[in-house]
Amino acid sequence: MTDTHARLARLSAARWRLAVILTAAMTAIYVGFTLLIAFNKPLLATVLVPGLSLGILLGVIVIITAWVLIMIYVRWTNRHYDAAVADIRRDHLHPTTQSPRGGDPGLHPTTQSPRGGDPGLHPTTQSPRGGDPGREGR
Amino acid sequence: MPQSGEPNITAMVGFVLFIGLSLVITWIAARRTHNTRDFYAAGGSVTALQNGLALAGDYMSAASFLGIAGLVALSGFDGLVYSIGFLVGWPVVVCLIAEPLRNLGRFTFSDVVAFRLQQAPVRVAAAAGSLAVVAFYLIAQMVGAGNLIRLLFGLEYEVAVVIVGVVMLAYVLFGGMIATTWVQIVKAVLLLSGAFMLAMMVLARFSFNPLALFAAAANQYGPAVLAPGRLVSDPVDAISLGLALMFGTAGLPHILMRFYTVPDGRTARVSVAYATAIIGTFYLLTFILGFGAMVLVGQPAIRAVDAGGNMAAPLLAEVVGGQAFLGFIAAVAFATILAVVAGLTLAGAAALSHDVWVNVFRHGKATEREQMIVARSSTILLAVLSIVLGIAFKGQNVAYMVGLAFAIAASANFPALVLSMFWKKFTTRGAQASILFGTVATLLLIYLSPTIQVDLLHREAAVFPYRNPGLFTIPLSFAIGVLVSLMTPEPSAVQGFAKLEQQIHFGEP
Repeated sequence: MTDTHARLARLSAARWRLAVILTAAMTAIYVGFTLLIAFNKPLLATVLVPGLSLGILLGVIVIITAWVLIMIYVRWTNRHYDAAVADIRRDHLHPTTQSPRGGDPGLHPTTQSPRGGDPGLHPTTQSPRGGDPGREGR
Repeated sequence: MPQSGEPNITAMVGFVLFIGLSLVITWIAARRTHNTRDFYAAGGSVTALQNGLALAGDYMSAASFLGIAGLVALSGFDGLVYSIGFLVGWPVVVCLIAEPLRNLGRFTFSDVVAFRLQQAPVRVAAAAGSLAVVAFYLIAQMVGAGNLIRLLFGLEYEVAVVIVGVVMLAYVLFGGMIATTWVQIVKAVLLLSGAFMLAMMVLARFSFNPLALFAAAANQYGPAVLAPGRLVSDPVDAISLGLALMFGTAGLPHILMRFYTVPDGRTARVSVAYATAIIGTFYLLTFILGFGAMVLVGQPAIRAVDAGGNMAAPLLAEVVGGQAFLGFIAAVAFATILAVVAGLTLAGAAALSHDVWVNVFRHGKATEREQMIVARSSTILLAVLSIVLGIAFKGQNVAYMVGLAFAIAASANFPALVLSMFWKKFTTRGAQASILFGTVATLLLIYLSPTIQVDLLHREAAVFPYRNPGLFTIPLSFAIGVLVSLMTPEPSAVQGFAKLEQQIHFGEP
């Protein structure tokens, strides 16, 4: 199952990359906003139209940015990551049968390893998808 | 408005109705609470929207509703700085924490840190970190509750603290996480609709244009209310506070615990999107309420009732909606306090019983029955403690304690959590060192800061010049975790990493 391993590692790296980029973006934007407040109060005091200062506008933009960053992450994971995990998981659990539950053949990679390999990685009591009975035991 | 608290009939009715409704919820929840998984994690059956509301409920404390509205009413723009700080932590939660946490643990974040490390030593440290955060957060909420209820309903401070403690105890003790979650949901809906109605009633006077409201404020109090003021004076302190708020959210035990109440990682992730939408909207509304109070109630009138401005939103409710609406908002504020305190107590009880008792003293071998007894005993212990501490801290200025809780969460819990999930070479000693350093260093630096030395102890100067230690303690805590891990290699932890990585993605076997 080195295949499972390698594919998971690749997927893991992709998600980690996105997560770090988004976290760094949020940190940079927020720290930048705070630095502006600390060092350039007059700039933020600029009134753009009556009632709206640059500070208020930027503040609202920071809040909206937080929403947008979360939406980017949730969309990517909901669309790509979940499908990829389901795919790897299916191949991992049923290495000899192609798509046993008929799920999403379009996403099925052709490089599937037919061997069972690496029993250490293969939990014997694994229940397919979301089975919960094992939960209490850990 | 109550001149420091005449009872208001609507408020009393709303207050009694909410307690009644929440006790019905507790009764239903109690019948569905059969084992520890129900008690700590609501059976893992909460939906994304429900959890989003509950997360928002846990996060929107009375401090953020009344406190931020008051801050905006008295100082304008500066209040927005706080709201933003409380919101920007959520992208971190969803990107780094929510899903892996859900897939690796059962009840507490210590489950995740201890996943491939030695159970007992890691759990003792992680439980200490959790309990420190819970204790300071709880004290701040209890003292706030006593003061607010005295102002809103005219009850004695001690009576208010005891009522909050006892009602909250009933939710947690009998209804566990199921009751706590539903109380949070009801509270979040009430709070959001209350804030929304109030904001609409304010905006109706400004032809539904927020800018007209802000312009009126600038006319009345000068353009400075739309600009940064004195709140953020020292850049180091400002960034330090910002980092603590941002990364502290991802280390708050009562928030992290919510991710165990959903069935899978996907639900955990989507629930954060809902929570952030709700919390962000709420802060934007709060901003309108603050400016509304500034213009329609007036700063002198707000200061006259409470110097800190905490009564700005209730006063505004009275001006735009009369006694009845004031009563409704007061009841909502009360519901808010109760719900947050319940969530904190449950998180503390989980650390005491699941981490310390079951996994340290009993080495993970305790029957369900025993676990439930210990969990409920811990709940009673924490409730009594919170009442005692609430009364002990009467009259103290505890405003810094929420900041302290966030700073400990960011410096003690967050680094260990991230390192344990994403760094292969993290070790038991590394985890212990990182968590203990984060907790102790934060406490020490706050003690040496002007907040304690100058403001509370009235000394001339403070040893540590900054009020917020996060900028120093968060990176140092990461560094110490890494350094100590490199000095104490742990082959079994490295071997366990493959299993951890697989479970992060696949969920539980």
